[in-house]
Amino acid sequence: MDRVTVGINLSPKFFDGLLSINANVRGAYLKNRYHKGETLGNAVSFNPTLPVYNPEGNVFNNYTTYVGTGVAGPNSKGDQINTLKALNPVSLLNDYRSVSDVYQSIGNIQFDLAMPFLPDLHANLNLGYDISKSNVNNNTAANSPQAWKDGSDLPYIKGVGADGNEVDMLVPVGDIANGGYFIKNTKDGAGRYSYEHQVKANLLLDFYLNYKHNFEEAYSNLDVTAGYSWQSFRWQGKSFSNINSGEYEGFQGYATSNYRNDLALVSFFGRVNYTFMDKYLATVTVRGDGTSRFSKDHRWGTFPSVALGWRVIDEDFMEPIRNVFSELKLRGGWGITGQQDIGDNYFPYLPIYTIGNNGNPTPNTTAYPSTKPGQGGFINVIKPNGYNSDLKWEETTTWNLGLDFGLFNNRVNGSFDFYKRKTKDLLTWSTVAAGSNLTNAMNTNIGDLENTGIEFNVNARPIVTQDFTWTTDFNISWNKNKITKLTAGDDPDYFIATGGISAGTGTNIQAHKVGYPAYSFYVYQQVYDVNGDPIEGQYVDRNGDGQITEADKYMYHSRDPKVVFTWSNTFNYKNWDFGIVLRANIGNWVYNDFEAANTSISATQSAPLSNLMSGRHLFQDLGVQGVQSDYFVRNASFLRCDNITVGYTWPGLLNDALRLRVYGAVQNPFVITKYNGLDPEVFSGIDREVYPRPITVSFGVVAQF
Amino acid sequence: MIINKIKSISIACVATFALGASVTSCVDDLDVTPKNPSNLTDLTNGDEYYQFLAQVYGGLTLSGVNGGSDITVDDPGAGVYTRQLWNLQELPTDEAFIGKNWNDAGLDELDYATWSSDNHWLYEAMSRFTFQVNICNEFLRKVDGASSVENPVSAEEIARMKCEARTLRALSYYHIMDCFGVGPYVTEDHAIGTVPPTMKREEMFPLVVEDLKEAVQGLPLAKDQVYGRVSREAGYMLLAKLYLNAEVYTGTPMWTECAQACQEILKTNNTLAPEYKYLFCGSNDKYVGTGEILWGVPQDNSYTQSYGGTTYLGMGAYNVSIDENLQKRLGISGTGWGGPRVRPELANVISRADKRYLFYTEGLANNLSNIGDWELPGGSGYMCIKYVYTNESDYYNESGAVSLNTFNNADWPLFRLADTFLMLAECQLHGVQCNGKNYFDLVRQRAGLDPVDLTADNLLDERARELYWEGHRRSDLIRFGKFTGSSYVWSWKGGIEAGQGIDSFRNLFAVPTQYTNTLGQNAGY
Repeated sequence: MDRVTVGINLSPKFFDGLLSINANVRGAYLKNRYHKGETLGNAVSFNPTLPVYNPEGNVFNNYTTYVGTGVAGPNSKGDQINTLKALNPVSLLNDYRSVSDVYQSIGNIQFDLAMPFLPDLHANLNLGYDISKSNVNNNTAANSPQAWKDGSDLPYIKGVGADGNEVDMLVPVGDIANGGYFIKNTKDGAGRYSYEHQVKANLLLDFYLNYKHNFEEAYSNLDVTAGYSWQSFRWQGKSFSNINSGEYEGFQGYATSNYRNDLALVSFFGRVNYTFMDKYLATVTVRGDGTSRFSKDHRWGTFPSVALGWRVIDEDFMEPIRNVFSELKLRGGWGITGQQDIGDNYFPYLPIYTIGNNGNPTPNTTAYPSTKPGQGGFINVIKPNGYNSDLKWEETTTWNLGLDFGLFNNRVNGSFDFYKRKTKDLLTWSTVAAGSNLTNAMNTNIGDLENTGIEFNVNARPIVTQDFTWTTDFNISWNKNKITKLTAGDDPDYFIATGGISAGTGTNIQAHKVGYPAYSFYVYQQVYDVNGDPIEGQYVDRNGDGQITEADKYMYHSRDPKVVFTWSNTFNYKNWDFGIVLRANIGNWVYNDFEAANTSISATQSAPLSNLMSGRHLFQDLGVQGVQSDYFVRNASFLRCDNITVGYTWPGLLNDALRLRVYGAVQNPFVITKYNGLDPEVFSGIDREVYPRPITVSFGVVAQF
Repeated sequence: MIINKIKSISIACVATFALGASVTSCVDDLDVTPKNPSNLTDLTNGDEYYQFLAQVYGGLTLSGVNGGSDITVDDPGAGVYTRQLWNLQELPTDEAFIGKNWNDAGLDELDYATWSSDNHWLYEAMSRFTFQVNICNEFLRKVDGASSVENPVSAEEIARMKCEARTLRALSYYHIMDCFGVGPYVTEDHAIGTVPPTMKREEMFPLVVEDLKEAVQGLPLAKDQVYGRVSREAGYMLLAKLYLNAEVYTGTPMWTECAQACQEILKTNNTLAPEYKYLFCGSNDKYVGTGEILWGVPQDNSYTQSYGGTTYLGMGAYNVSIDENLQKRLGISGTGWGGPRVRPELANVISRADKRYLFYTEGLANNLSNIGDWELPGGSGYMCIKYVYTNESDYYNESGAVSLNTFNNADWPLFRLADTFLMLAECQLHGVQCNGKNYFDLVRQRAGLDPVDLTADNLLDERARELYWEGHRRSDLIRFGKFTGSSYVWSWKGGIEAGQGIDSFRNLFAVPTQYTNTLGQNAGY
């Protein structure tokens, strides 16, 4: 990875300081090399007892490769590669090269104008941009197992037509009238080159007026802001690929694809901060947010909030305990926030047609025989997409109550918060009622969700002596969430399946159901023998109807941790410093997808030996129900050490001209958990990743002159 | 100082003015329109309506536009209409089986006829069928616009197109009624985004039949129809299929109407193709339309690449681990997918002398004792080589000149005249005088077999021999009362190798869980 960054900052002031301008521009160049995403999966599946290279030599650049029923020998042909089995992972690293060049420029200019007639009134204008361009070049080496596996689709090539213009042509082999044919898919091990180009352009405009005044005679402080902001996002790109070796060198394998997506966000906002006697604080805000993602009727959301504070410590009646409490403040608030971010969906409300072959008139591989009388040949299809004109803002109402405190002259500081959040019209991707739309699943406001939580935070300096100090920071939070309503179904048994797993396509392991946490696991209850081992194929008949059907599945734990805490400590002894950060999640459950997919003998035929996972119960054949057993849903609570640092400082070298610190640090040195997968910290709750978090050891020297 | 102030004030004024102007323009900025080159918000040219019609048809054979999927499925290739339909109509029967070497969740439940409502194949099939209904509806809503755009489409052609879309819609309702017995009944009169009424099939049947009867009148005869579009003969065949199963769907048999619809076809198309096996090879489009394949769903190895239909049953049913040399003979490029196998009951009902015996048997056991690995030695279940990639002119690729392909060129034979003949025989069996025995004999004659008595058992067996792996078997077994219960069991029926009876409620699939909130659930599940 290479990186070059240049930047300029300017902060001039004009008109006796009434206008201040803050401008900065930054340019960056970034070069990255990527590995193929599937390399790790293949590394896990590939038989580890086989050599990396086939000593006999073979057509696959000598890499050991599965062909037919065995492994390629010197006489194996490339097109015999067994595409159902894993590819040689070393070849995936060495025979594939993907390099990206990214050029980015970010700039913004801020004008802050104090009104000459009313210096407490400021006008602020902020203009910003973030534009980047990236080019990705991928090369798959000729004769690599990957090149043999993929082959090359050659629907057509560029040629010169009768009128001298460039046209798309099929490649005829032999005389078509006499048994010749067109090239379609060639498996000749030819190398391939592909290119992706992307431009991102984001623009921002903010304008607001701010009035700040201290009304001394009224013991009041007023801070009022009103303004609006405008943001525009654009993503645009294209890609193509061609063959770069062998008989068809230079032929374009796939059509050029072209895309563009746009998004605009506009907001009006106002905020009033009012402080009375420095003790009573109030903040009232209201914002109107508009998004281009929703239809005109649902485009705007209004999101107000009120926050009140009371610095209790400043009241006269607190006088007696001020020797203990240095800070005591009560806070309370209510507010609504909105969410419209549904990822890569820009016009989910609008009826739009998609044109085959990305709008290019040449028929692609998913064209249809021309429906137009007398035309012949093939035409690209035009498909109307599903849309949801009722899509609207997801709104979350939060109530919170908090207390800030400081003790012993602020040697101990902390806060305590209680909150309740109700989310209405939860936005997510979900199946729609049968026959109600031009698709089966889309972005939908599915229902309501409730979160309740408590947070506690304290930081303290328990020991402060001349040689030794200890600073510690601890925060802990507890959160509980549950679905309170699902729009599509009133039936108490109704649920929305989510969370696909890799053991067999099409199975979901999680569900949203009223009364249960979002992303709960929806599973069969495993039956165990006297030794505590799971009995294959036996599940609890929870509804007692004498058979095991999906009606026996139940809601079992959820992915989100109930308790999270972080504890960081810094110790200083003379010139030494020592720091440690510990973090824990409690009550986060994980479906060990990797184990479920790889511990049955029947599931591992294309991935030899991966079933020999030590310490795992081996199944014969898990089937649809077996992979949905609660046996694979594990408590993944953990305590992780995020980092440990040790340093030594020489404060006054070279006659106090140099301050030198030498340190060593380890990121992620250890995790304590019962979870048997690679890493217990799996946000989605479905552990299908095989890439472990790295342990990073670093040493450094910091010199200050 | 004063000058500075004036300057500042004027800057403030300009700023305020600019602010006012930009507020309006910024609010209007939310009217972002799609600028993606592969998107359109309106159809503005007659040719685009033909491309829309191509999607209405393509919905039966393509995964989706630009390599995606029309519907949200786990595997776009497996989500193809013909493949979903085939899985539901063939896997639970005595004709086909997919082993554990494919670890796709839920396929075993189809194999054993023990599915539950959370079987994702049921969800995907219902999703595909209802998507197809709605794409037809949307076409019907929009196609009138084709008369008033650049390069307009004529009124007569628009009328034809509408009849075709209604026929395609009826086809999908046929599949919904046959498989699920209940569904949303949605037409072009319903607005997108509203939940359509739910109907049981006895309620839906008369509506579908009435609409289809009318639409068929507006379809051109095959000789006048464009390749890839549905002909009047094909429309009548669909109507005949609905009548054929009327008793199952509504309780009231309609054998006379069935025979009449078949007779309509015979007016213009009454001769079987001379050679059975050529109906399923790469060049079978010559039989589509005016030939024996009344309704062929197009596939092309370059331009209409389908992971369903004849690719699924050619490439999908082939396994290099059984015979590497077969690859060349079948014209298949690659190792095959080792998917659907032949159930022994199917192999047993067809004699080796029958011209329709298109199975690869060497080294394979004619049983399903080993449903794991499907390779040699020890492989269980014959390989079906009915659907091949080669052409009629060099069927066995003896010249070696046939290019090997990933995708099959063969069109999917949705409806064939031989089926019409057997349906007439069935009408005859139910007392309709329609010369059915003669047509029954003709079907056997082409296969090189002597006439036999026209009995229910003989007819059901003949339907297996003639129509195996064409997506009719489940409906046939149900109509003959053999699918559920234990009067007829086959390997792995009910989940045990010897086979066992299954409950009669399984004559309908379960309504997939994702849809029960509006459609309810079938009895027994």
